Amino acid sequence: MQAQEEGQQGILGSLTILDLSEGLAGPYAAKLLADYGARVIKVERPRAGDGARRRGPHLNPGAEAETGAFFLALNAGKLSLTLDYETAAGAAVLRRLAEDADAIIEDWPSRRRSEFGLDDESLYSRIPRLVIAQISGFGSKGPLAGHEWDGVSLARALGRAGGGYTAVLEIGLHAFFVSLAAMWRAAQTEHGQVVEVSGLAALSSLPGPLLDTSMASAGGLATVAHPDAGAVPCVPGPFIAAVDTDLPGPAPRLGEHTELILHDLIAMDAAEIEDLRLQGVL
Amino acid sequence: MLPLPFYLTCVLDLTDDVAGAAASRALGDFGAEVIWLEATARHSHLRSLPEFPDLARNKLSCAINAGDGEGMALLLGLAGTANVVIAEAGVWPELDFAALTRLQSDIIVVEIPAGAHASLGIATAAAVTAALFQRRYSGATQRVVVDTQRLVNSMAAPLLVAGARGLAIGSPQGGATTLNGTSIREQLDALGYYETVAAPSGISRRQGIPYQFSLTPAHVRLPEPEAGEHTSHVLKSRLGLSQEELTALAARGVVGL
Repeated sequence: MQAQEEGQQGILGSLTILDLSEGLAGPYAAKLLADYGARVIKVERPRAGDGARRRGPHLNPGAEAETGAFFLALNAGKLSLTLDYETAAGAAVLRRLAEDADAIIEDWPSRRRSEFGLDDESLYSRIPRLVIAQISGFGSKGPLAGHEWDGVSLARALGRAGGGYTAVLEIGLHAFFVSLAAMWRAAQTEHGQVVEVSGLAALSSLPGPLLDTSMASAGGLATVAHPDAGAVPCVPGPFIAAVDTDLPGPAPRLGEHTELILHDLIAMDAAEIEDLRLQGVL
Repeated sequence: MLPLPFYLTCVLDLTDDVAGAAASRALGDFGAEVIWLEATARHSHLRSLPEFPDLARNKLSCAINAGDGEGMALLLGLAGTANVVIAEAGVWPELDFAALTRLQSDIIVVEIPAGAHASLGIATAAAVTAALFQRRYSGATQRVVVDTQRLVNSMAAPLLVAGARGLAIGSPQGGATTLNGTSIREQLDALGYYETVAAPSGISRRQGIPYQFSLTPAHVRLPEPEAGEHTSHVLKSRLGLSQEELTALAARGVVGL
């Protein structure tokens, strides 16, 4: 995809990502891409948005839907578009958005994409270079496919000592690498593919205990102003690249960039946008 | 078979720890030619780890005495043929960023801390890939530094955001479902996670690639190498050394064959 602007911003400034994920691993993987300049569009359901918005603690109890700590931390630097893709009109918009994306990150149950016309055949017949990164606990095959999962249980079962949210975020770290690897190949060959990251396999692949995050420190971190949460620490990604990115923006308010994205990315005019709004699709 | 993502990318791995091994493994799994530098005088401590066979797959072992002037010259020569160098910061001053960019104006250099956690290896592999993107766009050399504190902070971002307001995030307890060893193995097996690998130590069923790529699935192509197993191949093919030259270098302890 073209660089977002002249002199692309950040080492990944040439990439556009659709983040359809809602857990912690997927949003973290997408956040890492945003840390390095990728344009990450978080697609959220209208009115409800990502469940993490309501997950406490909240930095501003008076604005709970916008100031959950998990949401603020794992979605900094992204754009938010509200879209009811479970409607025919919304699914059509999502398919149009996919045509301008380098990758989709999702953590949906297997085959859910098919319900919205986003099955592999439909997508790849029109967008051959698209990468789809699927994150799950157990993968899409086998006796445990589709089962409920969480990072703590997986890590415990695999004997990887440590706690907290490190396990689930480590899965997101794997998804970050894997989606980049697939996008790198697509950039050279014009062929994307579906890449699956299962938490069970990813956590199995590294030896030893989970990363100890007890030494995490906000000292020296810059802050970014969020309209509802005030000054929020800006936590950068794990590596420093020669091409610096401006500090990523705050986490987006629900649907904050809907019109901007629809107008700039898929050339939708105001009348069409208003029509979708009246239908409740946006 | 379709080319893997890092086809035609040569990675020189100068590290000697789990994180570096995990990084170059991830790249080697997906098609990079990984040349892992080992010392001639002693085996890498990684070889004593039970997970060594998994960490060292899909790599070539090249044993060079980098403490010897001739050995360092060979190493510099090799670096001049690589696309990516992964190094532990400060270990080889002769191979610092300035020296490497004099060898190749568009080389990618990724520096990692010694003794880092294995997950830093995944961040490093991502850093290499990101640098490949940037180099494709700019044509310029890329230097990337992977930092433990930044990784720790990144993985603790929700806690830091909450903590800035004096708010605490409790640890998740995990679900009630208990996974037993049998169900884990069955599930990993169903995902194609295990592969039968023939190594000098024998044929065994072992850990394979933890991700599924629909178009370019990856496999264990090379088992863990013996120390210096590929020194001859690497130095002949990349630096044009003859067998006589290699034999003489080995006799002087400059390389290990």
